[in-house]
Amino acid sequence: MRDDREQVLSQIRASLKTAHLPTARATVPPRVSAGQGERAAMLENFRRELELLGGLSFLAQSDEEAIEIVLKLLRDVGGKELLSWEDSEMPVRGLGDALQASGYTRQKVKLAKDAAERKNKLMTLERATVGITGALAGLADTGSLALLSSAARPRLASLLPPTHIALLQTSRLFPNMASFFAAYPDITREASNLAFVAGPSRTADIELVLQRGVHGPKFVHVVLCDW
Amino acid sequence: MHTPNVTFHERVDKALRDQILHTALDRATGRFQTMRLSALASLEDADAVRDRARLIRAHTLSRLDAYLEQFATNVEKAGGHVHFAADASALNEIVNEIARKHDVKTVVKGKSMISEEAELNRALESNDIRVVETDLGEYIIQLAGETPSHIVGPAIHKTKEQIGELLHEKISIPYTDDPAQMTAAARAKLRREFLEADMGISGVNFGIAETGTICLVENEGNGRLTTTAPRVHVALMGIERIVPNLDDLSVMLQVLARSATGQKITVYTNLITGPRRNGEGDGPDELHIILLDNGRSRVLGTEVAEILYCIRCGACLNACPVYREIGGHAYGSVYTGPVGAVLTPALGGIAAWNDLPQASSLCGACREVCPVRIDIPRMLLVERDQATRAGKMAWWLRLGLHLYSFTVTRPALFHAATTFSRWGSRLAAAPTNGWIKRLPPPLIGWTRSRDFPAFAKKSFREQFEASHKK
Amino acid sequence: MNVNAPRRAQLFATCLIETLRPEAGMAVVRVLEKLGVTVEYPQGQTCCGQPAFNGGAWDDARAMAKHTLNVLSKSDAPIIVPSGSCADMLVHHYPELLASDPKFGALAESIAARTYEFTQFLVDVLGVTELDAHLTERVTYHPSCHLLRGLRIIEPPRKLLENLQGGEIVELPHAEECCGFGGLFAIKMADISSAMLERKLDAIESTRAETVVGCDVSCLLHIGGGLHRRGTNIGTKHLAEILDQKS
Repeated sequence: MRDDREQVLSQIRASLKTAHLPTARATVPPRVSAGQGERAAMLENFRRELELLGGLSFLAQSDEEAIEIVLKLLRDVGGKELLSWEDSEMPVRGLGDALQASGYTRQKVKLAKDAAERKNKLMTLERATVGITGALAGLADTGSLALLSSAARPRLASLLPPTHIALLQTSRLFPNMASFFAAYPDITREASNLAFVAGPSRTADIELVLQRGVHGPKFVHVVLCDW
Repeated sequence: MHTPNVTFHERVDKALRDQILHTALDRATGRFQTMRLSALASLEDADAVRDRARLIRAHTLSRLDAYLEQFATNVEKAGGHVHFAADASALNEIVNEIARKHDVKTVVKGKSMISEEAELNRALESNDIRVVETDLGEYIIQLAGETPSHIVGPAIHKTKEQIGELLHEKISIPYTDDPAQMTAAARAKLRREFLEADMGISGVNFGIAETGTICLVENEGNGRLTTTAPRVHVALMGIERIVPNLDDLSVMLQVLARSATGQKITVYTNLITGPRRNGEGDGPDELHIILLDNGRSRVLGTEVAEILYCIRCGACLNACPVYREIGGHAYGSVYTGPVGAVLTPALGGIAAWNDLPQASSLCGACREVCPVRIDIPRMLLVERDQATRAGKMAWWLRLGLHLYSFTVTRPALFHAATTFSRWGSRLAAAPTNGWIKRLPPPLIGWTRSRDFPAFAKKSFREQFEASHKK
Repeated sequence: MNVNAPRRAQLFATCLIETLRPEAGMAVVRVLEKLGVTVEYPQGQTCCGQPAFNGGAWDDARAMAKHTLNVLSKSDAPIIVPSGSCADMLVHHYPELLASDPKFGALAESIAARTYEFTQFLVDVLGVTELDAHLTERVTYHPSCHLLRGLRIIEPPRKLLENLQGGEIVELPHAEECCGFGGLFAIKMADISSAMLERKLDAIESTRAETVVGCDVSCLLHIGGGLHRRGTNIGTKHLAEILDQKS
């Protein structure tokens, strides 16, 4: 396949000999501090920011409380098919059993390499009304969730269904993205996808009128596991 | 770069007469500006963050070759493929070849300016590949057969009634002018496209050298779907869009959305490192990242290299009084507004794009709002000088400025000329109360909307000397 | 007033004040002299060369810059320019234009270092913010682009205006937006320039001011020409003319 790598790089090298790049320095000075946050303040911030974006947050003090909140949310949405991360990936013990006991089925996200099979599977997954995930972290300054992919943590759970319920431990709150990266410097080596999600999908492409739930979920509920 | 066949002045004329366009532009640019200000205010020390963002861009470009090599190595380490495309045709060739290899019939696309720059859709369609834009604004203009008019809001030039008609006609839904219903209809239509597409093509906001990661930001979720559902993901990026590491990325992200739409952050910030791995259930099986040069490496060696600091937020468009009057299409180029006025001639040659850097009052509003403080007016001036050297200045203006300079550098001649003009102008303005209603060509443009005063009876020098006789 | 403030200054009047608005220049002279500053008028001064520079004729602009630098280098007094854009030309663009010139490069830097826009000189150099003058009318202030964003002179003109007695100051809506002048832009891109001007005129009329005040004769000429074409009675004045007003 055509590749102009050497041509492009050598032109760059030639250009850099004469380049006029105002304020270019040999290094960018290290940042003083990415910041440390106090949990209660971060929690308050996170909830305020998320709600400004049109998301909702619920505080749970125990596994039982969290399960109760999730089941209530599921009843409100309706439908029995879910896209969910595996139990091991979620901070709430017993959720899987509770979902099963209440008659919910969880679709296994496993897309085939074969084109036709892949499309068929996607069509099936499309039926799910709710996706359930366990966030790796929350960023307080923007109300964002950090979602890391893996075999047990499909990306589509936070993307395909119209409602996304995320479980987040309050001990996993960070003041901002910089402090998150400082805590997880090798995070991109661990998985092919890290998504920060700040509230429901939105657009303002028609006359700047805000619309939620364009292609991603219209509803984002975060259950804060505070124990 | 493709040049339009209608002149700049004709396009401007059309835009200035378009009332609907004016209303839309006023609303959009006004809103974006207000939101930007409040979003920046939410940053603890916005000025320091902007300074840092600028340092990062400048530093990265000063070692661009090394960072690109590091980036490519790390993408490949993560299992992705990297391609360098020297120009648009190389890019189109590479994408078509990937498509052929995977027997691709349908492509879903996230927003990508690189794709517009290379006119990729046309190149794919000529190989019988169906291309579907999925960003709502891009989808609308694709249905209308138009091009984006704004980096951030591609369809801001259309009213909801126009969009309602368009959707009714093109995707056969009952007419509505309700944005909620139109959005829902587009969601349903495009959802099927996502699930059935063979390939997803996206843009890239930043490539992170240290990790081989690409970062895509978006609000709708179409970017995530494009890069998750189809078997193959092709990501298009300009060679300049590298940052060294994740910490640097976090700085850029602090200013990008704030400057673009006035959000603290976009709804989705997608970090992709290679194709799916370790038994992951979704995500593409193949990831191809295509780095487009198309003149950038050459621009890097010029006086206007600073334009490569740009992170495509569109803040300069919203702040620009010229953009606000004429909108994006009048520029006739992929990149519009102040950044486009510098970048387009830099990439496509001043000879073909001389009008763009001329279309500025040099008011400096763009420099003021740029998150990485690019001195756009300086570069517009550099390009005007280049245009003159390339023989693009009108002969009368060239001669006029020559004569002016000749006169100005000879005070006695200058005084004679101003005295002559004084009597001339006073004579011309005498019947109309001291104001000239119509200047002769080539100055006639002035008096189309403005009167011009006659010269003063006594010059300043004469008055000063009369009052300061020793 | 600063004790160590300079007692003399050179006035670079600018070509527009020279030919079209000498009364603004005379007002500058009177205001300075009242404050005890001896005003020198360097002979041979003409135009700073901005039309050629902005128009893209840099070789011509360099010739004019060199001429002006020669004229201004005969005295070591600070230079006062009663125009934001011409001051910006001297302060920022002369050094850029002549950066690689062995003779004029250093001179451009040294002249730039002692060049001040009129209100900047009053407030930042002389330390004067209150003047013995009367505002007799309802005014609105247009901060011109190169004054505001080129030289970043934001407060001095406003302070001087606000500390006057009498009259009334009305804030101009969207004050910081360009009036559409831009030198040759107003002629080469007359339609865009006119559209920008119309907005500025609408904003001015909405204040119901009698006078538009600014620190750039060029923008005032543009706005004034538009106001006259509209048939309004709103006038334009350089801030110096206001500061020179007797009760």
